[in-house]
Amino acid sequence: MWVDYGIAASIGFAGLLGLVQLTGELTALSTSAYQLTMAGFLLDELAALSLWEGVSLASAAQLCGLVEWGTQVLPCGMAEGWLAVLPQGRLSTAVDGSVSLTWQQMDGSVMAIIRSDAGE
Amino acid sequence: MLASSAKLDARVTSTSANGCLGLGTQRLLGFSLIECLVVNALALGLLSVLLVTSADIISAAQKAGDRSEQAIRARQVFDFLESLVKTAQLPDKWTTGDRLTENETIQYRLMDPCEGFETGVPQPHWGGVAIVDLATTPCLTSADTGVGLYFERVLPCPDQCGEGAGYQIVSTQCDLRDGQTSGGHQWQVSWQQTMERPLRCRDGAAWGRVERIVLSHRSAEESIEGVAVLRLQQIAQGLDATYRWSQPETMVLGVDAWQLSDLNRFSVLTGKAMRSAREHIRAVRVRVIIGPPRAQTALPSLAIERLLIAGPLPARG
Repeated sequence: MWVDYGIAASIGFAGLLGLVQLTGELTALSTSAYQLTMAGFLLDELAALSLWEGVSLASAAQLCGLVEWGTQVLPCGMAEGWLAVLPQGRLSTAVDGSVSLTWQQMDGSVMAIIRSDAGE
Repeated sequence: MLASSAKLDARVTSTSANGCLGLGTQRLLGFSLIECLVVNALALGLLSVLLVTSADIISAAQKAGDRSEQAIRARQVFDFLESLVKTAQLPDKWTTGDRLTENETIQYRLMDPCEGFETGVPQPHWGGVAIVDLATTPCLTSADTGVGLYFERVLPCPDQCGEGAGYQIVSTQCDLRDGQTSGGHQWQVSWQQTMERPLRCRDGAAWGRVERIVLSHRSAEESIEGVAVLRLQQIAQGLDATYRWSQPETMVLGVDAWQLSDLNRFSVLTGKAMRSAREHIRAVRVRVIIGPPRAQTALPSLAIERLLIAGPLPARG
């Protein structure tokens, strides 16, 4: 009977591990979709602000206080909140004027989206 | 007879000794009652752990999925709004070289969705975005209250405008070659049976279709679907030349609320009116609140607020 119990327990735990693996991947997929959507909102909002204020995308990010050394001058809506929902979300500007948004995904890898004034 | 009965008894005793409650008198085989209870308790414990853990994991996955669905739904709403905004002006290639005068800028006024094209005279610009009060817009359905987002779109033909009847926009100088045109173009809208190029226009002349769309919100209490919805209403095209609005259609389910705020055309940075190429840019702030897809997950509503930049608005009148 102990052997039977051991077999049943093993099958149960194996099933549980499979379920954990599957749902973990589903959760990671859903979370990635959510984070990508929020990142898209953030970059689109910056692009709209830069167009509205007639400044570059990098300047808009600085004027929203979203990059290092930046100070918030513009009302940037929910941009700060969107950056906050991205784990270790960081916005940085490059010499060529492009803006890079990076954050850490659930599996530990780093996702980066780069957008320039000309578009994505 | 006695011998066979004794043999049967021995067989019965041996068989029952393999189970938990075996009471073999000669030799104790199998497990004791305590052992059986312990194993049963362990099995039940394992089953409970499996069920609870599975439920937790599935619940977490459902929650993440629902949150993602909320965000994607919001994204789809804003993608649609942006696609409307992009076409809410004359196409860029039609207006290359045309610049609005100061007078045209000052004369700017909101389009009236109840004003048909029949009364319109040629204009230098068409298309735009405006916030309309549904209660004071008699040509739209009277069942809706609050504010609606009104778009006048210009879709260039033949690529994007379709083939059916509708309101066609064409330059008043479409019969002239580039060198023969005088000053900026004036554009006129009229109802036509087809969207083919007007016969009087030369090859290469631009023409298109004009559409008018109003997006409005209906609360869960008022909607027939039982959930709050975003609705779309547009001018009827294709039947006859009578200017009228079609019945509203449900576009997105689960939009709990939406708020529109019209930004003025002054820069926050400089405090000055937007000039030069951006002088007619108009901005609308749209806030959409998306409810949870399922009530069971008890997810909070997701609010997304975006700045939508519209193209130049026409100077009418």
